[in-house]
Amino acid sequence: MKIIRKESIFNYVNVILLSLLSIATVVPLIHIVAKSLSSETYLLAKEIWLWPKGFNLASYEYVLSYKQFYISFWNSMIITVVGTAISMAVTTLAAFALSRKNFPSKRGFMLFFVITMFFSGGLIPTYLVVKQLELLNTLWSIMLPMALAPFNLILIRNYFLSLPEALEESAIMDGASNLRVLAWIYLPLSIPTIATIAMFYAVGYWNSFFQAMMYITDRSLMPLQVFLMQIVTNSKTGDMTTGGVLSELTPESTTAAAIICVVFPILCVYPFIQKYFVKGVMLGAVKG
Amino acid sequence: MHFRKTVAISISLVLCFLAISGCSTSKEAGQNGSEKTAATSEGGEEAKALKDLKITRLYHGVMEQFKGSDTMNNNKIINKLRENSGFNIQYESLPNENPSQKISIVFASGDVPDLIMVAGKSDYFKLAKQGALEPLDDLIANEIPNLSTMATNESLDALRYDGKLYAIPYRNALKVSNGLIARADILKELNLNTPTTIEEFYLTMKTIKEKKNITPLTMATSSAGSFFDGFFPFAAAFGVSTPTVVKDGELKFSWIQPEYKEFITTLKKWFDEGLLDPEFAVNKDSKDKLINGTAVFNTLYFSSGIDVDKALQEKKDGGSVQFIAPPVGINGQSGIQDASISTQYIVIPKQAKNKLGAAQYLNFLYKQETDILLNYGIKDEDYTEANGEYTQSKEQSDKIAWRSMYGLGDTDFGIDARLKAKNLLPYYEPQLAFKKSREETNYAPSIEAFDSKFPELRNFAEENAMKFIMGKRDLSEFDKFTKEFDAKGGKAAIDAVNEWYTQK
Repeated sequence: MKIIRKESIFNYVNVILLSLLSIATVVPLIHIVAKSLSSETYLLAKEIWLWPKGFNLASYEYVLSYKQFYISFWNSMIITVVGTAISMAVTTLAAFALSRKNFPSKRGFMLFFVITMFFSGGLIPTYLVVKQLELLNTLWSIMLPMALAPFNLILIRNYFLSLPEALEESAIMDGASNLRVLAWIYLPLSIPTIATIAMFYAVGYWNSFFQAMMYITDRSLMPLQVFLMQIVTNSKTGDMTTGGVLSELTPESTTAAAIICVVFPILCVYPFIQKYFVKGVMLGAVKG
Repeated sequence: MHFRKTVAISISLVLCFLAISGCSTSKEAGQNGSEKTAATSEGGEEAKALKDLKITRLYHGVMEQFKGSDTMNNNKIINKLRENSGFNIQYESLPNENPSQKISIVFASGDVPDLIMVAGKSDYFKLAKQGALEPLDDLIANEIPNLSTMATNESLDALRYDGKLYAIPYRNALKVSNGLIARADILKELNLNTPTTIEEFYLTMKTIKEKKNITPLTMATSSAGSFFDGFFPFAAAFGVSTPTVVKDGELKFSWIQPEYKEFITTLKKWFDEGLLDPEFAVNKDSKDKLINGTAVFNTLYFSSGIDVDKALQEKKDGGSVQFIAPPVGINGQSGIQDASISTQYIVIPKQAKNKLGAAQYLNFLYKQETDILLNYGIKDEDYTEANGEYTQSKEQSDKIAWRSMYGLGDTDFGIDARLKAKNLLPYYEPQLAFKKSREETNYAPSIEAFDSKFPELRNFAEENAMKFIMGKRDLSEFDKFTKEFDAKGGKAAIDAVNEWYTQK
C-alpha cells in the first residue's frame, strides 16, 4: 500500500511526539533508580542524573530494615486485595441491576449515583460519619467509604447494555435466574472490562493516601503511601527551619529507595493485565 | 438447583473471607487495640479509668526508626514509662504534612486525646479562642511543679489568652539553628584568615574570587522566608537581622529602616562584583557548591555541617568545613539566629477524659529521672553511669534511636546527650558563643493585626530585597518601597504590636 505524503509526515511527527512523551515519563523513574543506588556524597554534590555513582545498595538495606515498611506493606496489600474485591462485587451487582430493562425507577437510582460524582459530603461531615460508624483507626475506613466509584459503575453498566439482549432472553427461556445470567453470561463476556475496572480500583486502593491520613492515626495501620509521604517530606524539611526540634533527616538516597520499593509491586501487576487494557479502553465507546 | 448451591456456597465463602480479613486487620492493629481492651477490662471502676492516657504528638522523624519487634506503643522505653508513671499511655502521631488540618478535624469530631501537640502560635490561639482548650493555671500550680525547669514565666505569659494560660510551650533546648559555614581548607590553602568584620569578609571574598575564580558566597533562598534566614548573619552586622528592631522605645520593621538599605546596598555590590552566587534566588539547596568547591561560604543548619564533611571526606580531596563567627559590622553589631524560641505547644483539650492524668503525666515527664530515661535509655542496658559521667556507644544509641519521641520538651542535658551520640557537638558547641539576635515579637501574645499580616509582609519585603540586589528594581526606589510596605498593612501591623510593647 502506498503511503501518501501527508500520512508519512504525520507518522514522523507522531513518532517524535510519542518518543518525547515516553522519555518524559521514563527519565524521572530512571533518575530515581540512579539516586537510590548512589552514594549520598554524590547526591549532595548533585552529580547524579541517569547513572548511579558510588554504586551501593545501602539505602535499600536501610529501607528494608524499617519495621514500618513491612507493616505498611501488609496493610496496603490487605486494602488493595480486600478493597478491590468489595468494590468489584458492589459495582458489578449495581451495574447489572441498573442495566435491566424491566427494572422500574432505574433512572432514579442512576441519578442517585451520579449526584455523588459532583457533590460530596465535605471533609468534616464525612469524618463524623466514619467516626460514628466506628470505622476510625480501622482499615475499613479506607475501603468502605469509597467502595463504589460511580464512574466505574457507569462504564460497566454501559458495557452490559451493549451486550445483545437475545443472549439473556435465551438463557431465561432455559430457566436461568438473574444471578445465573450475570455469572454465566454477562461476566464471562465482559472480562476485559472487569479486568480494567479492577485494575483502576486496585491502583486507587494501592495509592490511597488522603483517607488514610484523615482516618488513621495508629501507625500499625498506616498504609504504604502515608509511610512514603512521611519519609519524603522528612527528607526535605529541616535545613533552614527555625524554632523546631532537632531534625532527623532521611538521606535523599533512602528516600529514592523508598519510592522505588513502593512503586515496584503495583508496577509488576501491569504486564499481566495489559492485554485487557486495549480492549478495555474501548468499553462503552461503541454501544450495540 | 446445583447452580443455586454453588452460588450460595461461593457467596458465603467470600463473606467468610471478608470477615476473616476484617478481623485480622483489626488484630493487625496490634498491641494498641488489644492493650486498650485489656486495660479497660482490668479496671472497670472509675479510679482506674483515669489510668488510660492518650497522647497525640506532632510527627517526629525518629518514628521511622523502630526496628525488630519494637513499635511506637510497645518497646522497652514506653513500657518503662508506663511502669514509672503508673499511666497506661498510648502515643499517636499527627501527619507530617499539614498537621493543622488534622488537628481541626480531631477537635471538631470531639474524639480528642488527653494531650495533644499543636504547631504554630496562630493554630494555638485559634483553638484557645474557640474554647476548645482547658485552662492550665490551676493544673500547673497543683500538679506540674516541675514545669518551672521547663518554661520561664515570660514564655508562659506570651501564651495567655484573656489572662488565662492554655498551653505549655514545648521547650526547645537547641540554642543554635543556622550558622555561617566556611570551607576551612580553601581559606587555609589561600593563606587567608577567617574574616571577622564585614569589611574583611568582603576583602577575603575578593581574594578568593581573584585566585580561584569562583563565586565565594552561595545561598539558597528560593523558598519563602529563606532569604532572611540565609542572609541573617550579614543583616545582623547592620543590626537589622530580625523582623523588628527597637528604636526610640518602639518596635519598627527592620525591612524599611535606612540600615536595611545599607545592608541591601552591600549585598548588591557583592552580587554585581560576582562575589555572591548569581543563582542564589533560585537555588533550592546550596550544599553541592560547598562540596564541589565552587563556593566557600554559605549559611547552613548546624547539623548539615556533618553531611558536608562526610561527603568531603568521601571525595578525599582534603576538604573540611567549619562554622565561623558572624561578621561584625561598623557599629560592632553581629549575630546569628536565636533558635531557642519554641513554636510547638502542648495543650489539654477541654473535652479530654483524663485532664488530671494529663497534667500528672507532664509532671512525670519533666522529672530528672524521666529525662535520663528519655535521652539515654535504661541504665546498664543502654548506657553506663559512673560519678555523674554517662557513657553510651553509638550502637547503643542507635538501637533506641526513637526514644526522644516520647518527651514533650527538651532539656539541655538531653540535647547534649543526643548531639554527642550523633557526633554533632563539634558543629554545635562553637556556635554557642556567638551573639544571638533577640526578636521581641516572639514574646508577644497573639496580636491579630500583626500575626495575620506577617507572612504577606515578609514575602513582600523578601521579594523586593531580592529584586534590589539583582538589579530588577533600582535601589533609588527604596523609599517608594517603604511607602508601599506601610500601605500594604505594615503600618497597621507595627502599630498594633507597639500597643503591647510600649505597655510591657
